[in-house]
Formats: sequence, structure tokens, C-alpha cells
Amino acid sequence: MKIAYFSPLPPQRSGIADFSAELLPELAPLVDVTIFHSTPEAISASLRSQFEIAPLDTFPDRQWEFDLPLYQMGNSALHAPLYKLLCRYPGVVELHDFVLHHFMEQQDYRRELGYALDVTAVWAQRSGRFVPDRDTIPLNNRVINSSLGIIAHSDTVARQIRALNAEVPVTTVPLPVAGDATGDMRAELGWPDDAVVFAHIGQITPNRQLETALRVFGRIHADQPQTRYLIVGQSLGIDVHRLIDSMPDVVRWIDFVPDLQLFLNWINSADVVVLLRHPTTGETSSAGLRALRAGKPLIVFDHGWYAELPNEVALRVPVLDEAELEKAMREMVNSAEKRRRMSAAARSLALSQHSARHTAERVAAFLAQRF
Amino acid sequence: MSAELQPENSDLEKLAVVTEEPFRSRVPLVAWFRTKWLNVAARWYIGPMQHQQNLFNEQLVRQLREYETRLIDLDRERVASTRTIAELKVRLQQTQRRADSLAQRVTELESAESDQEVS
Repeated sequence: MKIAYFSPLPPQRSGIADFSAELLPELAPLVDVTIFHSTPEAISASLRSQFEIAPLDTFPDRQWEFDLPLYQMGNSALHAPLYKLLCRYPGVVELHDFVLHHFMEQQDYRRELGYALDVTAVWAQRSGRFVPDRDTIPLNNRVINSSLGIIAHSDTVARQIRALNAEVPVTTVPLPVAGDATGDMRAELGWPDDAVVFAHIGQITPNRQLETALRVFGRIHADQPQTRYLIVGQSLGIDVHRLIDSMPDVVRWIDFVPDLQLFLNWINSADVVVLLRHPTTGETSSAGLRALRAGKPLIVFDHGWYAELPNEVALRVPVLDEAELEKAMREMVNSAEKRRRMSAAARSLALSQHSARHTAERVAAFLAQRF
Repeated sequence: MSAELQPENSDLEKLAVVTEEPFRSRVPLVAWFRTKWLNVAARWYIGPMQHQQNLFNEQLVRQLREYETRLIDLDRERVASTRTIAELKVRLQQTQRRADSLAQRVTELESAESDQEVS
């Protein structure tokens, strides 16, 4: 089977570019892949040595050489060139973000609003009487309705897609995660060896509910003095210093860590990762998957992709329920045995279900089914 | 052109209605006299024009809205058609593959048959 493959690729800075770089070598033995890209000469040498990489604008003339196009679509401007082709030459779409609103704002926004909603919405938005909500209006309708098949990364997103268009074939394929820690950074923290370390990993944004988590942590620390809280990630509009000022010795903020290996080692310094999201926009958390691969149990809100995590690896609490969150965090503090058990299960889940090979096999099977 | 009249920011349905601005003056009675004079000298002339302009604007806005509605409908139809064409293209390629495979099989059978005839 011959596949025309469209995606951002390294050195472009995007999670989807990294995803493709990991997926492609595993996909190559299963299907015949030609990559189409706007700047083939900029793509990493290792990919160029393994695949034919053609300029994006040559695809229309070559479309008959391929059985199917496969588009990696996400909510960032990097996808603009392939989005145009996706609309003109539909194929199978791997949808990395259910919400494409931010991306569509940089495209022909009112046309997308009109397509997804109606003329009244367009006129109201034009006059300023209506400000479309980015979180609840996904603006993914054109992508979904155009596609010959959609690959989602969670059953939650697959259900949301089916609710919008019951006819388009949809499958769920786990997002792969690669890379292992080579050690941990606990020595740098100077915390006692028996400290139970909770961690926030990844960007700090309002929907990641760090303030809630720290408020609950403060209550736990009052009678569990061995607990600590590690924050690893860049703040986007949150005054983290204000949040942690009252607990300077027991909460530590490590800002953005540009080096992936170092980031993995920081994750490995935690005992439990607190991975709260509200609202969720249908994302599958790559930070969460990295934590699982590092063998870290998770505490999550019980919705979206997070609700699909098995009990063996994650404690799920009702959304924004601080009492239940406190109960879950205390449960983890009080049982080292539970932490060990969940840690082993987390690692095992990541290795068995979230490997690039497993993902590639599932993607190839869906492509074969669609052709 | 003021900011609120920029087409990008305008509420066309509201802007389409031409309305009178009442005369104002800090000097007592000036605005009252000007209004009276307008009523006598020009209202009979301006009134019908204002009415006609409002009718025209109303029609124009309605037409624009209809055209934009039609554009959205056409856009949706185009997406559906493009998808159908893509689906047909896949089926066509599948059929082509089968035809090629059958042709190859026929060639093989013919070749085997001629070998038998020769022997």
C-alpha cells in the first residue's frame, strides 16, 4: 500500500513533528511511505536517508501514485500548508487535537465559522456581538466531514467525532511515548530521602489547576511534613511565585527545561504526578504519557482522556472536587506499597500500549481497512 | 472614517438604518429654532429620501445575508462533493488494482496454455 504522508517534521518545534519522527520508522516496514513537506531540504538527515521526501506542491500532480494520503492534523499554524491539501485531496486524518479553533483563527476564520455554525454567527462575530468560545466551538467540522477516515488518540475524542458525523469511519490509536530517564534530580532538590514528592509537569496554564493542587497540598503538608511539591514547566500567564511563596522550602519550581533528557530526569524525581486539567479540550497529555513511561502514578480529574486511564495507574477524582483530590493525595502519601504497585503498572502500560511500533501497526491496519 | 464605521467592525443591520441626529446647542433656543426651520423648510424633502435610503439599505443587507447564506451552503456542498470524489478515487484505484491483478493472471494462464500446446 502506497501512502502520501503529510506532517510537520523536526526540526520544526512541535509535539506532532516529534510524533511523526518516532512513528515513521515503525510505519515504513508496514506501508510504502512518501513524505510530502513544504521544505524537504530542512528535514533531518535521518528521515531523508530513509524516505523519499517530496515538495508539498508536487502532490497534486502525483496523487494517482498513492492509495491514500495520511494527514497529521493539529491545532497549530504549522499545519496550514497540509490543511489546504487535506481540504482539496481528502484522505485519512490523524487528529491530534479535537479543538482546532486556534488554528482556524489564523485561516479564513469567518468561512470556518460559517461552515461550522451559520450566517447569523458570522454576522454577529463580525459586529462584535458574538465572541466564539475557543474551548467549546472546536471548528473541526470541515476536517471531519472531508476525511475518508479519522484516527483519534482517545475514545473520548472518537465519541465526540462520531457525534458530529456518524458516517465517517473513526478508530482510536494510542499515542506513543518514547524516551527513558537516565537518573533523577532529587539530589539537587536537597529534600530528605523519605520525602513523598508530588509533581506538576509541563506548561503551567490556567486549565492545569496548579493553584487548586497547591491549596490541597498545603493542607496535606500541615500534618504530613515529609511531603514535597515539585513544579517542572514554563508558566504561561500564571504568577507561580505568588502561589508558592508561603511554602518556600517544600515547594520548588523548576522553570522550562529545554533538554528532553533532563526533563525526563526531573519527572523521575517525583513519586506521584498530579495531572489536573479543567477544562479539557480533548487532548491526550504527552506529559502524562511521559510520566507513565517513567513509572509515575497519576492523579487526574475524571473526564476526557484522563477518565480512560485504568485504575491501576491513576487515581481519578471528580472534576474540581478538592475534598476528593485531598483524599487521593493522602492515599498516595500513606501507602508506599500502593505507589510501588501503581508505578510498575504505569510503566508496563506505557511500554505495551504506547510504543511507536504498536501505534504504527494500528495505523497501518486502519489504512488497510480504509483502502 | 470612524472606527465604528470600518466594515470589519460594523453591525451592518444597525448601520443600514439612517436616523436623524437632533440639533443641539449650548445657546438657549437655537436648537429649537433650527428644528422648527428644518420642519418647515426641508423635512418634506429629506423625509422621503431618508425613507427611500432606508428601504434600499434594508434590501441590500437582506441580499448580502442571503448571498452569504448561499455561499455557506455551497461551501458545505463542495466539501461533501470533494469527499465523494476522494472516496470514488479510492474505489477506482482498488478496481484498477484488481483489474491489473486479473490481467496478470490471464497472461499467466495464457502462457501456461501455450506451453502445453507446444509440448
